[in-house]
Amino acid sequence: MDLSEELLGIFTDEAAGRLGVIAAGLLRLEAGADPDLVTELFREAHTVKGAAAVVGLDAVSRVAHAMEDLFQELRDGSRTPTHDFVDVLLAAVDGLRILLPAMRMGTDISAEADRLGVMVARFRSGTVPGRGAEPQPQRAPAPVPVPEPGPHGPGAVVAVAPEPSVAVAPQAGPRPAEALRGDAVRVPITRLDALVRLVGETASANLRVGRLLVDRLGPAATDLDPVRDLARSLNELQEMTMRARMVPIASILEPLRRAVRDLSRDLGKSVRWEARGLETELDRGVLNELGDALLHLVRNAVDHGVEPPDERRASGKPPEATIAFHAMQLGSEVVVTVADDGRGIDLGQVRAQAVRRDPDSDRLDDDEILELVFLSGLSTAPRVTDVSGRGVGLDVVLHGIDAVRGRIEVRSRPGEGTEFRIRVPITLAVLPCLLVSCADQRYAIPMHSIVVVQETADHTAPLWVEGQPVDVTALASVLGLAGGTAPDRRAATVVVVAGPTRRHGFAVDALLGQRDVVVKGLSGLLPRIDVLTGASIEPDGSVLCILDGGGLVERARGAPPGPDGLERPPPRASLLVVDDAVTVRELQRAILERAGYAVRTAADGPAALAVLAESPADLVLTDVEMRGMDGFELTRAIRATGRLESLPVIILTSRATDEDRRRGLEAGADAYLPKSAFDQGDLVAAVERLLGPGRPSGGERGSP
Amino acid sequence: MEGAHWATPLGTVQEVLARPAITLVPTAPPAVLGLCNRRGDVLPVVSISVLTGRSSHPSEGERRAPWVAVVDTPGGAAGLAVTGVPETADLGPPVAPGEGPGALSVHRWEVGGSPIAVTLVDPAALVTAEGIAGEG
Repeated sequence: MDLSEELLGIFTDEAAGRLGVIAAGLLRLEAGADPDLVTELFREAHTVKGAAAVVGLDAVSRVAHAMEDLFQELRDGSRTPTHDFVDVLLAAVDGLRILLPAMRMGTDISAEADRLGVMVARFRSGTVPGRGAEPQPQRAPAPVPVPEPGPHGPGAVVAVAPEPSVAVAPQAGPRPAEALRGDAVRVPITRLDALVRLVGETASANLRVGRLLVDRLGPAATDLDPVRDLARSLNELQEMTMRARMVPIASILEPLRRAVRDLSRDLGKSVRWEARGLETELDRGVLNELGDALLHLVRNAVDHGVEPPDERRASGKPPEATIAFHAMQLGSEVVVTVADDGRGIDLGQVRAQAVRRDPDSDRLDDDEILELVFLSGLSTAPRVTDVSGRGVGLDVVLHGIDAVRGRIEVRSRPGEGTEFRIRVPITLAVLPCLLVSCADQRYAIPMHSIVVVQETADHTAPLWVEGQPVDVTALASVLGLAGGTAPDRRAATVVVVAGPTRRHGFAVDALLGQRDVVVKGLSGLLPRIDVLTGASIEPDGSVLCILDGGGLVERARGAPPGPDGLERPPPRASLLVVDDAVTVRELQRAILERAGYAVRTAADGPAALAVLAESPADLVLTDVEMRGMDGFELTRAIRATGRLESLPVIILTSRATDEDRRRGLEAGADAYLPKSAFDQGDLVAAVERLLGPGRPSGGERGSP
Repeated sequence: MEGAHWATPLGTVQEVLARPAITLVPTAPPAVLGLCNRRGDVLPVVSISVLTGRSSHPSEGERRAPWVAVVDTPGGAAGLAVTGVPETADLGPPVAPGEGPGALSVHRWEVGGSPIAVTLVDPAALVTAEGIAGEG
């Protein structure tokens, strides 16, 4: 790299930081003029002007000069920081930020920069009276997660500040610019990563030396002062290097605040932005992902969370809405909430959309319906706008949070507002994990994805967790390993893992303990391996694979249920389970799928007939007491439908009198199983009696 | 490697690791033999025989390869599992063009007075993300 390239890199890094400071300061300025803040912004613009001139970016220098002039007019009292004033300067900042990558590459951006300079100068001269009158550069859509360039690319940097770290409170607290002055230095993030890696390796080497000393000198070796001092120093070194990757959450707040400001003005809404806990620190990698998710939430909140002023007044609310952001550390996690006091999520609308996709959704309670807002294609917006309403926002949020091993919950009350609560690990570099063994291999399962660990007497049967049946598969089978939990040994330890949409249990050979592991990414040469989240180096120098909870669950859904590791055979037959109790439906589905059947479900008689009309089944298994059409009526309706009249029907019910049995058989049922004597073996046996043990799925059956 | 002889330009080899512990990567494609620790870095170890198309799956001998040659590729460093003792040699002029992924040329080389064919491979072309994924 020649000197000019290096200088351009240094300048663009510095300018990115200073422009970020100016943008954040402008937003604060809009809330109230503060002489110190104005002076600070003036200095920042002045510094950018000088630095740009030094590296030969005269046009950029002219833009900064024009900005400096405007700040000077604030200083001498000849101008006030109106919304138009802030708009123009933010547009100039955005424009320069967009040009930074081109500047770094040495591309001539004089023409674009000059247009920005002219825009600012014309505003200053009064040629441009107000907002939007001048063709402005494209507004940067609240860049996330600047202020720093990308995470690991060449020249990526992270600001390293002395304690106390940067705290960018909008109303009070240290100023953003403090991060860029004083004792702070800018360090390429690749250098920090290398440091973390070397410290981790040193710690591993120290453990190996410790083992060697114990072997040679006995257990007392660990009590030797030099050994203990070294271990203590290494622990502190490891902690400090981890902290070096941490950045305060305040560093991603400016784009959020910008989004609230710009969008609320565009939509004619009045929104107050509150932010607390901004000094909370997170790993830069986590923060980058979190920034995108938070931007979606904030834009959703402004667009269809909060009401226009008139609507708020009519419902007895203050015309100005509030969007509150709060971050706090809880143990090894950071909890971030984004709450608005708007109209709340329209549960009726979400339910209607959900039911259109899956009629069974109508059985879900309100809390369960609310969870569905994270599904792809399901929107909480009453209308589609250019901001939201296409059902992609919250889906993206969920995936973003999932990517950093976080969780998200939503609470909403009609007319009172909505709160999203996100929990993310402080760092991805260290992950609390449960270590397990399986097929003579050791694996780490991240603790955040584990629901519970249970012993079971029969790992081939579904496990009951919090009142719900959970399928269990041998971990070795899911991972495609030979050996592992023996097919003839039914007792096992089961780790129940939560995936994005469902839980699954994994039978393991043994639990090896819980500890924090330093996560290392896998080589880019490897394809994406869904069941892995990374790897770690063990104290003995070997590599430990860290499993991915979501990937495991998804893979298990398509993996053979048994521990034999064989490919799942084609379904034996297609069954339809009809029951108005979700739990019963799911239990029957789990049992019958485990027995090799393809199972569909319906919540009542009409839904069952609709499913059969769409695609016939080989057998129907129905409850009796259901809303609308009971099991007897359903059976009669099946018998009355020409192409279904010979479709086998099993009635499974708690009504076990002889009269009920007679009614069932008269209705045309082929078998009648009382729930009081329910046993999964009986259920499968009853199905096999009617279909034969090896009957392949045949689709339509028995037309006369 | 199990009867076949391969060569790679010395400048592309960073080092040779002796008896590294290789951890299996569950559900990985057949070309991936596992992961090993290279001074704190997690290094993928791959199968020459699968990448060159000589076999669809690595042999047991390859899985237990006593050496791993660490090579440079545009996608990062990778380990080639090696079953024979690696050595340096000056290959003479090529006697035939190479065939298959990454094969540059075939050379005649003498071992104990007997000639053998050595295929010179280019790690940058042989060890690629597409090749490892089985899409090459």
